[in-house]
Amino acid sequence: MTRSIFKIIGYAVVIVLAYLLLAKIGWLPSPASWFRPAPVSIDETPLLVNRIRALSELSSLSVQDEVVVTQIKPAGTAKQIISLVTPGAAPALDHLVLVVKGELELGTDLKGLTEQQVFIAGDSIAIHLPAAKVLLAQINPSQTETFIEEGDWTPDEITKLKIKARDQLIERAKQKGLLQKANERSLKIMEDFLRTLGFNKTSVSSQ
Amino acid sequence: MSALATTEYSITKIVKASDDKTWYKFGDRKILMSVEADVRAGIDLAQLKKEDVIINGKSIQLNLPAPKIMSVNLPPEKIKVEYEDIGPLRDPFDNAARDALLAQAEKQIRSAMDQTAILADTEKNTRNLLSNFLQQAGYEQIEIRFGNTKQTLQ
Repeated sequence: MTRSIFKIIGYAVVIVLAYLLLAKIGWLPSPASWFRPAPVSIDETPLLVNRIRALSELSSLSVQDEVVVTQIKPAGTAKQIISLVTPGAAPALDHLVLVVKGELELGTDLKGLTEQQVFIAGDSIAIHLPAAKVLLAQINPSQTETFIEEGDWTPDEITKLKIKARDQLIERAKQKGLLQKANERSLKIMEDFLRTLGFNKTSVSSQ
Repeated sequence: MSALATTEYSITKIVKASDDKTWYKFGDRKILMSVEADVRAGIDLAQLKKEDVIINGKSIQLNLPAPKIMSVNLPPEKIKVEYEDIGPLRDPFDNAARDALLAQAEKQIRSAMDQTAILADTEKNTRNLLSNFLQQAGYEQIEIRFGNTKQTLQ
């Protein structure tokens, strides 16, 4: 009886060791993967085009930047009660911290260019461009990291925080003088383009 | 960077997901979101060289680079959670889980843009924009061609 119990234990040990060895070399899934949540995939759904718009935007500067935004609010009732009855406990607060990477495109909207701002005579041209502005401020979910999310946060609260992050990215670009830089680059690009089009004398200025 | 963006498509997509594949979690949870993305396309002016412009008196021929998708923007205010069904033993989708699903949607939008007419519209809009300008500049015969290679800026 004892001998057969040892025999069963021996077989079990050999099977476990063989499994661990095969998992180590990648032929079988590792024990840790048993408790890894299955990935959630979205369904393939069609795209619906709502609106088509003609643009005339000259992007002259592209910037990538990153900001950290934080939101704090009083925690839910259960946490509040626990905090009140626990001696010396700090007030219960919910935290939300996002690390948001964004991409800004700065340049000149040529839609603002009127006929009065273009003067052509023979091989000479003078253009007065509108001032450069932020043409695009993109913060996509693929570029957003949720660093801390404690408590219940509604989608609206999270949206407000993301908009705050986008505003900070735009403000930071302005503070760094990137609009002036984009303006200078727009002038240079336009001048080069006009020369390529055969104009020998060019004068490009901006507001 | 020097790009001329001439077309923007506003796209709506429904993001549907069901989280019921993990064997040790009891019950499932489902989410339905609507996303509005702004997709911009244009041409890369940096690729334009002197030899791409042929001028002969009052006629001009421009050989422009092929149009590209320049950006796929999912503004946060245009993302809405339309419906959630959370089993009694499951946690609701948190922001990280929702963003992971939206990142998949962004990928699907990028790869499905080839099936729309955005690049053809970009050629048309670019042609209109430059033709008007070149006419104003005094050219009477204007021919604008685009490269054949379709590329996407990531």
